[in-house]
Amino acid sequence: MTKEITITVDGRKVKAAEGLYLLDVLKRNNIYVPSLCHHDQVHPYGVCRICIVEMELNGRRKVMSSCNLKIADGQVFHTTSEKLTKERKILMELMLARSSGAKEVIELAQRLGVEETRFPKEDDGCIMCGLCVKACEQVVGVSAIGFESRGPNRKVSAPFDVEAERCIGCGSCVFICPTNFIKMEDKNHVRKIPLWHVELKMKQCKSCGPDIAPEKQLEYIRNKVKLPENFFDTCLNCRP
Amino acid sequence: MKRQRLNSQESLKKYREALVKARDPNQKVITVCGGTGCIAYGCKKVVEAFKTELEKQGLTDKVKLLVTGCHGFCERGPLVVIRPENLFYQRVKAEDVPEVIEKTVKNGELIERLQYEGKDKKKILKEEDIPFYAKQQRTIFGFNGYVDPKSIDDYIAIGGYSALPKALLEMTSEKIIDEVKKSGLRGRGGGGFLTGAKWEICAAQADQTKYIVCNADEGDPGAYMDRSVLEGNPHSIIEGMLICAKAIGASHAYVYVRNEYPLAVENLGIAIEQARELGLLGKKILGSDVDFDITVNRGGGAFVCGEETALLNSLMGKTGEPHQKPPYPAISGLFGKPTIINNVETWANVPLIISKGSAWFASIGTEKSKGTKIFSLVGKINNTGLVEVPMGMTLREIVYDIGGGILKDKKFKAIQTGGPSGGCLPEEKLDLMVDFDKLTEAGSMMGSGGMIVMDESTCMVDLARYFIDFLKGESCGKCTPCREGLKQMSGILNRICDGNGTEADIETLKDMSETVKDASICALGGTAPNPVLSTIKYFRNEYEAHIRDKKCLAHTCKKLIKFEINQKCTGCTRCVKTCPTTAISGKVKTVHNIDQGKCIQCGVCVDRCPFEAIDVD
Ligand SMILES: Cc1cc2nc3c(=O)[nH]c(=O)nc-3n(C[C@H](O)[C@H](O)[C@H](O)COP(=O)(O)O)c2cc1C
Ligand code: SF4
Ligand code: FES
Ligand code: FES
Repeated sequence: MTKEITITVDGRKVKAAEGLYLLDVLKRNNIYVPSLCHHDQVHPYGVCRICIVEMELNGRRKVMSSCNLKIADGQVFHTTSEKLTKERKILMELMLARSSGAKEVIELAQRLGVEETRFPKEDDGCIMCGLCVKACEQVVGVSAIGFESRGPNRKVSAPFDVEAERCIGCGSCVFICPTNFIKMEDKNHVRKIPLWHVELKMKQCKSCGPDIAPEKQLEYIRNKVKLPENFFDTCLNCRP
Repeated sequence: MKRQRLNSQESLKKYREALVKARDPNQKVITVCGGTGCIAYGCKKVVEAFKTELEKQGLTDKVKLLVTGCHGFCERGPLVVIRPENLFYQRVKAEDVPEVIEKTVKNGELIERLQYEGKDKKKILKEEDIPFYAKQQRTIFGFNGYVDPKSIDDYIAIGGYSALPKALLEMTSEKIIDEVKKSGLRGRGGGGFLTGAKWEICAAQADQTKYIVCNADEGDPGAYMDRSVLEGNPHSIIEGMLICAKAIGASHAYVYVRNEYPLAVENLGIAIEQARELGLLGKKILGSDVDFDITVNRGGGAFVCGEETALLNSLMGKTGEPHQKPPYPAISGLFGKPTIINNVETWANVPLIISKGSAWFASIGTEKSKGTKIFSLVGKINNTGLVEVPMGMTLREIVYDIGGGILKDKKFKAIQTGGPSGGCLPEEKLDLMVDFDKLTEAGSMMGSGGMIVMDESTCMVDLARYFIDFLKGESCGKCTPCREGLKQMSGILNRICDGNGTEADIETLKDMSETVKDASICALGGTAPNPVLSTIKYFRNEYEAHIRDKKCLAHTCKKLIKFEINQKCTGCTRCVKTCPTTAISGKVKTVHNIDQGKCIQCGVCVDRCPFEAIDVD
């Protein structure tokens, strides 16, 4: 049984279940707060910081990210102050400097009123949202990839930046990546994800021929849900 | 010797009495500092020499040799203090030892060359009269000079573990928390949060399992106060945690020690073993219902791992990355359980508060900053080392009275307090008191107690650049403002130092600083802009000189200085021979010339020239 509580957002009372994440509650109530690293399928990682709001605390206002903030009764938030607008814009300028070619970044920047960045532009396709790492860990459950290095050198990477041994080639990271930075290629019955230095053999349908999925992925699924050995010999269409 | 378990207050009392009785207060003790600083100066050889000499002279029964932890005045190491008179010898070498025994120990004669010399050239006899020590109030650190860190008996003999039975057997949890709250103790690790209030929150959690953590990661470059307390008096930390165990209802603690501190790990390990032997760790301690034990973990070394949420992640075997608070560790910390994490120095204060009372503790310091604080005093100052002062002492007293003023009588320029992300305070702030809130108000912070003194030869823009570059490299890189913001700030600062700054840069730096402070996940990003903001606030003219006039007022930014030879040049050709790039030319006995195209502004010619013939502009 979750308790219903009341929080105040920009002067408006909002009712919601205790312990929900603030950003989700805001969305449901049609209160717009921008977000970039948030995705419904993974636990909020809270790193882009675009979703910042101000929370009243001991008579002062504290800037916090909303996507990973669990609400409690009586909390008072502000989502549109001048300070937040300014800081979100600076964050977008920073993102734009890092990933000047990323469509999502450019679009969100424009939405927040940022056309240009004051800083030298680079074109790193990775915006460091961490969704690939989190999806691999939480959705797929294999944790094949992670982060490497510190500070500005941090990047998503296979362990030691050599072949990600645990990768099953499912491509979840590719699908969840908001900027299309992670590339995947299926050719000559081999699936390649160059960023993780992965090349995996595809399994073909015994009956109709085309690739089904990487052998390793099918093995992983088969073991996980205890399917019979020959389950993936044929594709979905050819299965009786 | 196998010791007997102490299973009651009475048995501990008897144990202590027996120790004290067996010790002669007039016993001659040769105290040799065995701290890390003195080890670097060769104190191990001095200790060996004393051992050999005492044996040779047949004095091992009469004279006790005590190897202790750091005394604080490391710069003068190896230090030797002869008690009970407290005769102070500095920079003692193994060769000096036979003479020390022969003259001072046996015959009470002094050896002048080993004594400390005051400003007026007078020799100072006693440890406590040396200006460096005289103004300090060493309530925590003072014990270091009196105990062998490897001996629990030493600690007990000087009154250690006397707060423990009081807390465990006479006080309720509420009473302990109340005392710590009333004492006004605030965390010494950086945040300055009220320790008692934190304990109270943790104690109120319904969870049956709770943890205690000692933060001994100490990543600030140049800081070594926690190291010195752990190395020199590890039992005080253990006792502090034991008291907290009763207060919050925890039965296990982890000490997270920086990997680079092997002696701290060793001494703490021995201390834990000894405490277990005596039953001061284990089950039903002193007959109470408190069970408690301690595990020592060695940290990975990253600066950010000292941040509490990152540290807890690291302890759990995860990546040492911070997360946003809440959840606070006191509510959900190690393995999701309520956890009290405190700094080494914070822990060392706890037994004193319990044994001497909160009123005693609260009588030291300012309205909202109580007790003493240990600082690591370094930079362009005469006396460097670890100093413990009451809160409320002014920076001026620390710099001039304890620190002995600026090296070579140069002009004071700034003091940075609080470690790499502290702010720089100018001359006009020297009368500021050491106080959590006052330092923050002025744009700096208490931090964990770093104090760097700078003279007129330091360029404040270059200094800000240096610290931002450091912090940029230490940022975990998880959140955008800290990772990208510090990178861009570093770019701007480097540009200004190279003479390519623009008018808009100062405002951009200020805007960026606010965003990085507010929007970062943890206090690394949250405090990193301090060096920039404070130098803009107090030394804006230096930024402007770099940007507008392309001048570095301190003459340190290489791209902005020019070396030129003036008419004082005698043509001695010394500079020609030292210049690594053959930029200097000229005939013997005529004024020389520097080829600006070849000059790399290394400045060796200036140092070499005996005639002050080279100008820096
Ligand atoms: C980047 C960073 C590094 C820190 N390093 C340390 C450290 O080395 N030792 C420490 O005690 N606290 C450190 N802290 C502070 C801790 O997060 C935490 O506030 C402290 O351990 C709490 O104990 P206290 O209340 O006794 O100070 C650091 C904080 C930050 C943001
Ligand atoms: S503020 Fe810096 S160190 Fe802290 S979480 Fe963010 S990137 Fe990491
Ligand atoms: S969406 Fe909340 S931090 Fe990125
Ligand atoms: S190590 Fe000897 S005084 Fe610090």
